[in-house]
Amino acid sequence: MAFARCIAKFTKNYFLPDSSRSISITATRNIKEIREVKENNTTIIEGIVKPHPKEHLMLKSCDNGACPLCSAGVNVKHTDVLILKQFVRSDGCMLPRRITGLCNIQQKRVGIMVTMAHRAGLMGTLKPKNCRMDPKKRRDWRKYNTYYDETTIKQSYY
Amino acid sequence: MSIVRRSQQWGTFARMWHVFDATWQDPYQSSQIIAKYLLGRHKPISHPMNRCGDHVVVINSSEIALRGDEWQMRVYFHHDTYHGGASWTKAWELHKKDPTMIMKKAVYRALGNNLTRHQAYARLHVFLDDKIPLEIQQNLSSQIKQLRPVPQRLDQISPEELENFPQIVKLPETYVLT
Amino acid sequence: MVFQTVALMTRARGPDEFWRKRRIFRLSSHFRGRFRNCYSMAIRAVHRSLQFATKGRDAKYDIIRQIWMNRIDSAAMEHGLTYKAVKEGLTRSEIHLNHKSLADLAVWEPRTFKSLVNIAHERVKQDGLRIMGYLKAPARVLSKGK
Repeated sequence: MAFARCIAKFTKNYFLPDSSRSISITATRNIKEIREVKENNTTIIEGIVKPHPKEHLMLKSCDNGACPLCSAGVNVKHTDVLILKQFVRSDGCMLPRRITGLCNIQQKRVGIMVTMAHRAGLMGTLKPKNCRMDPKKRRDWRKYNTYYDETTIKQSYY
Repeated sequence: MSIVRRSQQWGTFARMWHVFDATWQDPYQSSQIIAKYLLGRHKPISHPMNRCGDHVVVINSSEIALRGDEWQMRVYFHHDTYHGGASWTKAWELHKKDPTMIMKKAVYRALGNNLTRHQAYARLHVFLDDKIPLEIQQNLSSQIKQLRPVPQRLDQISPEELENFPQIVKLPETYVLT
Repeated sequence: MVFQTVALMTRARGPDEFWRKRRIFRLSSHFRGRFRNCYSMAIRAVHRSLQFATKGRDAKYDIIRQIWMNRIDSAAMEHGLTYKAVKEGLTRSEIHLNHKSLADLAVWEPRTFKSLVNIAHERVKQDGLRIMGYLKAPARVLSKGK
């Protein structure tokens, strides 16, 4: 096993080396679009930041400095998976606060509700590999339906 | 008594059959509603001495949902009257043994402790799935509204709805989710 | 009162006692066992039952009031409103019907009761109260005099 891993590492390092370039020709991340403009004798190649694909679906942000969830004024529950989905990675983990831009209270609250949704088996597609998120495949009491009450979330984060 | 008045009398005091879908419902909260229907408390003519209770058919009782960690924490007590005969069964163990038992016990308790309990409890029919005998199915004429909406799982939502749902989070420009 | 012997006559304490006991036995006539006919037991049971009767006179109205409220609630639920919302809406519309007449209307005049519920619903909706039911407010109902 160790030998196979050694061979694989060798192959990866010497035959398929990782790209250490800061600029990639292919648009792997889809952040910027490379444009080539020819004007007379000068050719301008520039990377333009593309707008977010869901820009048109974005809620209008308030100017009062409130976090996006507070200013939206919605009563989020743990069954609202379409909202909670926006705060997690593809493996179901919560995004940090510097990325989500939520206030401290909402960040904790959403984090708890994400846990609730996972335990209730509502976000089965967002999971790490080899993880049984489908409740029917769990054992003992874990396989039965469970719901949560949002009023049990303690509000002691002020 | 004229035929019109007589049929009005029959219509008023006839027993109805209601169906209640227990999918993702809390048995202890929904039993309060079911008990109301069994005792006839949902009718304006209701009175403790008036026999106007209806039949309630509970389906999908194996799909009930308990709150938080109640599957482990809620315990059912039984004593077989011998010394050392006390036994405590957790809710999930009871549900594993008989998926209709938690619903039945919840309703039995919600009916209250008096002499009408026995007759009202006889009007309750609990089934673990949606397969009902035909003679009961033919009687059904009404449905009791569920207390909680059945939650939608993420893999059950259509891709169009996933695409067109409003966005709340605005990620930083250089941040890409994998 | 006829006495066979002088001894019995001296022992008897007059007709008053007999009739006094009869008064108690009349009240204990429906009791069970010796509480019906033995005076010393009957008098205790009668005192006890009279105490219960005193309390029951008040408690009866609580029970009746509960039945009225239950009837109003069940009739309101048929139209998608709760008891609380109906009472609040009617009070705000200055329709001060008491529980008894509302319950009577609910049983004997369902259509009258429905129109009252409609008024309450419209008023509750206009005032923006959270106790409003899940149904849409009915059209063409005026709850505020304009």
